[in-house]
Amino acid sequence: MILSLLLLQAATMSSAGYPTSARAEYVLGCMTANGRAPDMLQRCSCSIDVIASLIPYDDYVTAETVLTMRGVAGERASMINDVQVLRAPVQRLREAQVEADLRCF
Amino acid sequence: MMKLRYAGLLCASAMLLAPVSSASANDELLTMQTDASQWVMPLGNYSSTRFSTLKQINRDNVKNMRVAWSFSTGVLRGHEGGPLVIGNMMYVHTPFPNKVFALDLSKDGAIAWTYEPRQDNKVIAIMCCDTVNRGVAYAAGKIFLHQSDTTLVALDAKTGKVAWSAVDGDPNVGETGTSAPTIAGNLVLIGNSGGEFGVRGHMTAYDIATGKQVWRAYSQGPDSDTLMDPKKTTVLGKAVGKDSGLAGWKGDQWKLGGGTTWGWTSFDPTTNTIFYGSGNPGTWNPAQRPGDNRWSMTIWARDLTTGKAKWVYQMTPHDEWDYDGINEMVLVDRQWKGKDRKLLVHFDRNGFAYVMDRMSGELLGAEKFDPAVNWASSVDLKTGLPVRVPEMSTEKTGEDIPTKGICPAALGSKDQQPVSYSPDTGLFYIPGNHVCMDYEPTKVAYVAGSPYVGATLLMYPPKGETNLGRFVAWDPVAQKSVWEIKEQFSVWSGPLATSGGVVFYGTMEGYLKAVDAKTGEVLYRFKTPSGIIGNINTYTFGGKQYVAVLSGVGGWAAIGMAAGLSGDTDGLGAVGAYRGLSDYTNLGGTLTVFEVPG
Repeated sequence: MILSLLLLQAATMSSAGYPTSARAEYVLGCMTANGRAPDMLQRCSCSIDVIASLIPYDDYVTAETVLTMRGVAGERASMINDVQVLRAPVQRLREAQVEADLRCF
Repeated sequence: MMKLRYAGLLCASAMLLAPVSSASANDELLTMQTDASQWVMPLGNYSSTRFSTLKQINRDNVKNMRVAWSFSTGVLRGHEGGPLVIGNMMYVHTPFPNKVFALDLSKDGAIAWTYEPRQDNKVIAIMCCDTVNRGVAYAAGKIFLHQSDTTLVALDAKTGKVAWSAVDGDPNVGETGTSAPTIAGNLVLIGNSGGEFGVRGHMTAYDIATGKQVWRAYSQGPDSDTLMDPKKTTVLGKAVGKDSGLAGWKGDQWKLGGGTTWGWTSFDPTTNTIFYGSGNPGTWNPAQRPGDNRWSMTIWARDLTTGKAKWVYQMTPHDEWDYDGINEMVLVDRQWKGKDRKLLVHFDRNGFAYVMDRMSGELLGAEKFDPAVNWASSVDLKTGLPVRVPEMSTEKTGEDIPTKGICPAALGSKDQQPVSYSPDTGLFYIPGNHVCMDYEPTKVAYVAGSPYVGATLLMYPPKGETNLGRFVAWDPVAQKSVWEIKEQFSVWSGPLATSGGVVFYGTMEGYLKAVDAKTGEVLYRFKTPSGIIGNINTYTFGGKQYVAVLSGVGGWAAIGMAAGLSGDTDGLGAVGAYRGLSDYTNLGGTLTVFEVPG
C-alpha cells in the first residue's frame, strides 16, 4: 500500500528532461505489448530514447494527457478530444514514435 | 437525543485527535472545522474557503516536498473531491461504484474498513459527465455517502456498517447523485444531478440520526415546492411575489425545469442560513423554453431548519449557453467600500465573479474574472441582469445554426472545482477554464430517462491563444486579477491555500504544483500517476503536516504499447497488453500524500 518506489521518482531525472520513471513506464508498456525478451528491452529503451531526442518532455506529457482522455466519457474528455490545438502534440509524438520504430525495431 | 449523544461519545473514544463531542453534530463540527490538524468537510470549513492555517510546509521548504505514501483506489474513471481526515482516520471515496475506504493513519494507512454499495450498473449510462462523486461528509460518528443512484447512506465511522439509508431520487427518470453531502445542525443536505435529463432540481434535508426526510426545496414550481414566501423571500431586496417559480415558464415546462443542485453548500451558523446554486434549465435549446426559467442559474439562501428561502438571485435568466450556477459560495467577512460586510463571493460558470451581501442578498459587484468572457459585456448591479451581447445569443441565431466564438464554453470559466480563499493574502485562487465554443441548439423531445440536451458544441481556446486553462489569484474587493499562470489544460482541481504562504493545485497532466501565494511563482511540482481533477487538502498527524490529493481521470495513454506493434494487431494487442499492464500500472485512482522530510 505504501509505495516507497514513488519516492525515487522526484530524485531521478535523466537527460533531455525525461524523468527515469517516465522512460521506465514507456519501456514497461512497450515490453508488455511486444514481449519480455532481453532483445525487446533494448528495442523499447531505444524507442523512448529516440522519442526523447525528438520532442521536449513537456510536449510528451501534453500528448500523454490528451491520449489518456481518449475513450474516457464526459464533458472534460470530449473537450480535450475536440480541441484542435491539442492534436499537434499528439501528431508529433506519433511521428517520433514512427521514427523510433524505424530506428529500433 | 440519547442515541445521538451515544454515537458522539463512541466516536470521540475511537479517535485520538477528535475533540470531545457535544450532543449536537452542529456544535461538534463548528469546533472541528477550526482545527487545522483535521480536514472535516470537503471544502475545509462551513465558509468553504479551503484554507488551512498550517504552515510547517511553507514557501521556503516546499521545494523539499516528497511523497510520504500513496494509496490506490483500484477504481477507474474521474476522481473528483478529496479525502476527509477525522482524528487518526482518513476517509477516501471513489467514483462509481462509490467505494469508501477508512484508512488508519496510526497504522501506516492500513485499511480499517471498506464500504462498497450495490448499485444498478445502468446508472452509469445516465450520468452525463462521467461517474464522479465529490466526497463524503462526517458528523456524529457517521460518514455520509451520496451514491450515484441517489441513495444517501450513513455509515458508522468506526466500522463502516450501514446505520441507515434513504433514497433521494429516481435514476429511471435521469436523477443521479454526484455531490458531496453537507452537514449542518442535525441535518444532512444533498442536491441532485441530472440537468441533462430534464429532471427537477431540489435540495433535500435529512435527519442525521434517522435518515428521515425533513424538507425538500425545488428550484422551480409553486411556492409549496420552492419553499418561497411571496412576501418574505426577496430578490435584490424586493419580495418575489406569489409562485415566482412558475412565472418564468411556459405552461407545464417547469416540470422538466432542470435547475439541479449538484454543487456545494455553504453554511453561516450565525444566521442559520445555507447557500448554494442551481444549474441549467431543462433542455439546452433556449427557444424551447421561453421565459426567465426561474429559478435556474440562481444563488439560493435558505433557512437551514425549515428550508424556507430567504433570498434568491438569478445570475443568468433564460440561459442560452449551459452556464450552470452550481459553483461554490464562499463566505467571507471583510470591508467592502469602507464598510464591514458579511460577503458571499461566487465565481460562476458564466465568467462573472459575484460579490453579494449574504445577509440581505444585495448584489455589490460582478466583474469578469476571465477577460475572454464575451456573452455579456457587464452585469447591471441595480437590476442584476447581465447586459447580453446579441451576437452571442444562441436563441437569436436560431435552431440548427451554430453561434460562433462564444466565451466561455459550456464548461464555464470555472466549473465545480472549488476555489480557495486566503485571509492572509486576501486573495481568491481560481482554477479556471479558458475555453470558447460554437453552440448549435437543436430541437429535442422529452423522453423520461433520456438526455434532454438539444445542442451541439465545438470547443477551442480563445482566439490567438493556445492555453485552455488559467490559475488566477483574484482580489475580490478590487475585483481584478493579481497574477495568473497559463495552463495548457483547463484546471479542474480545487486548490488549497495555507498560512505557509503556499497555494497547491493539480493539473490535468497529473502535476501537483505548489506556488507562492503572493506572486504565483512555481516552487514545486510533482507528477502523480494520473491527471488531477480532485481537490487538495492538508492535515497533521503525529504533529507533522501532510498534503493529500486524489488523482485519476479514468484513462491511460498507453504510449509505450504502440511502439513496434504492427497495424493489424493494434486492437488485439492493446487488449492483451492492457490485461498484462494491470500487473504493474495502476489504471485506477491514486491518493498521493506529501510531506517535507525532517
